[in-house]
Amino acid sequence: MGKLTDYGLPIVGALVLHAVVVAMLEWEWAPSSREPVVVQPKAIKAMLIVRETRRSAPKKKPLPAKTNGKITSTPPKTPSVRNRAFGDQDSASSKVKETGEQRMERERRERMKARRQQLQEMRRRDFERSLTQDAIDISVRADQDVAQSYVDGIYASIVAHWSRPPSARNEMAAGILVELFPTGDLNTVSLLDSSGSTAFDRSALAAVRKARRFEVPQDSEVFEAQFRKFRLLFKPEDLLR
Amino acid sequence: MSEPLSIYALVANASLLVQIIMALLAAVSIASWVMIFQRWRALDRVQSELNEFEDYFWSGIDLRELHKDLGNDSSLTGIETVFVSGFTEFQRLSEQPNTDPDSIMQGVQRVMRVEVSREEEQLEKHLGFLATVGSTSPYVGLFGTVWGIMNSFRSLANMSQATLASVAPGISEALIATAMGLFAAIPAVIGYNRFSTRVDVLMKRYEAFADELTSILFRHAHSEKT
Repeated sequence: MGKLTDYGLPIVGALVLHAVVVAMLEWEWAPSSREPVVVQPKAIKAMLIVRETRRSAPKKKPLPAKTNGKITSTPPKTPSVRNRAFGDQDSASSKVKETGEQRMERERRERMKARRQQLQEMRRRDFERSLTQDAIDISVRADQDVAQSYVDGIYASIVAHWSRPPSARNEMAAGILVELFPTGDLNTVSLLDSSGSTAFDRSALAAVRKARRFEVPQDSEVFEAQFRKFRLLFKPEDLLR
Repeated sequence: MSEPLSIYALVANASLLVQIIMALLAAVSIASWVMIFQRWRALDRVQSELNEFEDYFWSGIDLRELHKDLGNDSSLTGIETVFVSGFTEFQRLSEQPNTDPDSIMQGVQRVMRVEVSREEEQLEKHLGFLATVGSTSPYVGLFGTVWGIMNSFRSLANMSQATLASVAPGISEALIATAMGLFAAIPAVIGYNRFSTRVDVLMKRYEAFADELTSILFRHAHSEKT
């Protein structure tokens, strides 16, 4: 009985089977690792941003129409033609008048043209300005939204850690000054306005200390503007007394 | 956070003991599959040989001729060894003077019983291993899981914020050990049950053949003596 040859095929079979199982596992496992990970704001606030059209731009629009109307409504030619038909005496004067009128008309036309160009230029500039203003507006609003979402997150975490003393009353309010590091870690917390009850003040300070770490925006500008140092007002509103 | 939670990463991040248990279970699983395949083939071969031999034996061939044929064959298998040893013993005993048929038959029966039990031993080889794997590897896997979860909870104690994300990978990698234990155990149990019933069936056929041969030889012994 050839012992080794007896086992050769089973060994190969077992190894192949395990290789197949591992390969299937790996294949099955793959999709879960491809999931995109997007976690930024802790609290999300939905808000509809309507892009308003600037009122100044449409205001200017009717103007060129008006000027056009002026041009057509005062055709300087018709009176001169009429004068010519009336008689010869007037012809010289009328001619002079005509040339004068023609010149005036030309001048007026040029002036109109220049003005129209100026207007167009103005309008274009205005439109561009309004566009950029809109863009700035939107980005500022987006910043505010992001900041607001973080503020909401901070509120939520502090409220979760706040346990009010039994002596708390609805009219109490404690002002707290919180300073954070850019990492979101708590730097200092101090009492600004006491509520009158030391237990309540202490519970407010403890709530912030217990939360210890907050989600803050990565953007350093936003952080410096709103999160480096901020005030919190602790005020129970849901108590029965 | 965007670290891909692949199965390799999970295994690589597990603690040493859990890794050892996983390696052990993988080895045991491979070994038990080797046994399963080997037994499968061996039992199939034994069964086909038994069928072939029984057909040949009952075809009305002269037993002395058959014995002579098989005696020259160096590679005897299963049922053939039973026949050869029984018949050899019978011839040897009946050639001796003054032996009564009953003692001859007793000697032949004893020899064949020994041979049958030796064959049984051959057939049941590795079945014990399969039984052990089937009954213990779930516990070994469970031990790895408990150890891994224990560790992941212990490391959680050092953290300030207990999030699901900090425990989940540890538990996930610990549970792989249980999965592997079950993966090793299930085929082993199935294999053990299946092969042990097949061995039982084969053993019954061996014993039946041995009894039939005994009765034939008994008839011979009595006809020769009288």
